[in-house]
Amino acid sequence: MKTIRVQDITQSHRAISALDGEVVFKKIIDSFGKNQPVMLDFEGIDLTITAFLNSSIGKLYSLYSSVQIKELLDIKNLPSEEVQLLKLVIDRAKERFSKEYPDELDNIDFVNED
Amino acid sequence: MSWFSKSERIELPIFLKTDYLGFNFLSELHKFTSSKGKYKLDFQNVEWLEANLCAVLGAIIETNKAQGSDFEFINLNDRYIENTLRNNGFLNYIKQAHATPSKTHSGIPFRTFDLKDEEELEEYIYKYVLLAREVPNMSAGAKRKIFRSIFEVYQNSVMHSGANQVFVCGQFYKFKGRMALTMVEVGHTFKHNVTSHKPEYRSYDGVKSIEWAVKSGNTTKPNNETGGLGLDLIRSFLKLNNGKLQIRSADGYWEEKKGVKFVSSCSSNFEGSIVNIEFNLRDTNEYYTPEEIDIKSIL
Repeated sequence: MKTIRVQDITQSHRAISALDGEVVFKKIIDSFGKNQPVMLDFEGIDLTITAFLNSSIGKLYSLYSSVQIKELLDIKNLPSEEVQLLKLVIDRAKERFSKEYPDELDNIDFVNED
Repeated sequence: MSWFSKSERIELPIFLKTDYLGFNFLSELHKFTSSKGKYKLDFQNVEWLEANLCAVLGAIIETNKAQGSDFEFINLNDRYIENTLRNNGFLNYIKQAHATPSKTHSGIPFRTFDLKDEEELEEYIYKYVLLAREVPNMSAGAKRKIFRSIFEVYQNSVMHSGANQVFVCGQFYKFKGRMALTMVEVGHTFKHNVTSHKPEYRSYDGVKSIEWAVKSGNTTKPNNETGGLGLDLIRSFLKLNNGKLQIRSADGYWEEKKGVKFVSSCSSNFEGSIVNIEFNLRDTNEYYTPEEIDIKSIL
């Protein structure tokens, strides 16, 4: 498992930059690409904002399913107040990247192209 | 009503407040002084100037100077106004001279930040807002939400304005128990970003564009990115805090105070965005986190 320490990237007690989030995102998908699990460690981080969480974690849902992310990503030392915010970001990301199916699937004619 | 004549001398109004009229005046001023002329800003009639608006004045002066305009500041005789502008550093900026602030004042300094230099703004907010003696009695939860709100606005500028700089200034209003922080950038407007995001939004005016942008889940980011939560979170917090959020961008004015909205179309465009957040510092809410959440379960 690869550990990514958020504070090493933000160099601060706060994770409030979308650009820093982008750096974290790239490190995570680099490991995911090798099927290597990641531990995202928020030790020393007191405050985050949605801009950081969107670009670091929310964006993962554009590339990976929730099941895959659950398998490959662990998060530790995120203050409980920030977990609440992360939940909002993840719920929003799941909604945005979910596949949209028509309401009445039974009424759609499927064409067998084989 | 027109504040401007053909003369290069521009009289500032008696009251310059953080409201619809104040922003209209400043938008007109921005436009009028962009013609590469020499302008005298006359403070003679000014009896009340909300110091956080120095962020807007600074943005106007700086961006129009870069276009070739020149500014002079006259009749800064009123002791109250002179003192206010000295304390937040704006007098130093406009007079290019050193004027020492009072030891105990309630100004949050006027500053210009490079949008790429996020650390500097972080330090500024920490030093002048969170550590200020005016906010000692608030809960850690409330302070956290204030800090987060300010940075959500700042990151919106970084991501959506296309500008290089953001102008910031604030003021503690001791008797009202409130703090106002104004952030301004001259760049893409809300209207520009929203109308160019999707063809169906092309006809949106300034107000409709802002209303779309402040709604939860709406974002002009590319399809592979998420967003649209920051401004909604600020609104939710400000409703509980009894605070106020105001946005002036292109021809739109939008405000929400204690949960009540007011919007209006404006006759002039502001070529960028002005965002003012006013926090109630007498907020006694704790803003507890309701329960422990298992992180794995939310992924």
